[in-house]
Amino acid sequence: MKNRRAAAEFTLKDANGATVKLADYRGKVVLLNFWATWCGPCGLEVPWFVDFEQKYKSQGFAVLGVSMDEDGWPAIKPYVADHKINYRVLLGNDSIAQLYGGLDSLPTTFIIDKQGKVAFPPHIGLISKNEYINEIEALLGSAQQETSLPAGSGPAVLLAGPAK
Amino acid sequence: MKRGEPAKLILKADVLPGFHVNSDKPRDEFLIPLKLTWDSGVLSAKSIAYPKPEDLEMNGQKLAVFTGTVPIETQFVAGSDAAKGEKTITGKLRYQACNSNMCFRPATIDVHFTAVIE
Repeated sequence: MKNRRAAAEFTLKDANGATVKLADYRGKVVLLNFWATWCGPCGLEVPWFVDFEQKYKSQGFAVLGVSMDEDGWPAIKPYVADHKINYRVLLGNDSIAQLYGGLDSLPTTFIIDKQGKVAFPPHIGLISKNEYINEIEALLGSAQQETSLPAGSGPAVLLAGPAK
Repeated sequence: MKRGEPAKLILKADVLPGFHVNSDKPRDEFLIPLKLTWDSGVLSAKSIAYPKPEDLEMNGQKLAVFTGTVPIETQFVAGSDAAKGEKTITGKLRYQACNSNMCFRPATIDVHFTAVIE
């Protein structure tokens, strides 16, 4: 995506009470997911994000799951345990909702590059796992790059992730 | 309605096409149920009955939901010493709606009606 804009900075608390800032993740690709325990489509994405955290963490990637549950940690912690969430979960609030467009519907997910900029249009609602994979790998540089070869010079190479 | 005698009110909630709300008894503990409550006052809500929910298979999950027009029946009783005349009865309806791809924040709307006590 051209003319990437800086992702809005925020400071929230995680399940252990630690203060977490988006700026702490500068230098990493971040999947910033807004969700809630009462959101069925959100729950479908959770196993994917668990996979991503496990697979890409060593490459400089992190999932941040910001819960918009009004009932707070008493609602969130059992869900995190039930679903074996291995990534950092933060408790959202009205302020961050306003920073990220109002969050009228969930899930809403932003993919943020290593410079802290929103790299792709936000995903509002459920999308495919592969779409996330394409975007993450494009930013991590995991996807193979498209190269121009003279005709007949060799086998075709895979395209890189979607150019934005 | 007459003092000391029950009277029935049916509140109809319309769910827009393409959306569903969780029933009053969702199958998952994390889901937010449809819930009608009435403020205490000159009328007592003796019972609140919701319709039978529909089964909705969505993204591999079996949900108990309401779609379309949802009639919710309340049995009220006015106390035998209730003052005669028109009374405005207020309450709240809490719901949480989704479609197949996304969910919307839980919402609570105010509801009210006018009862004439004889």
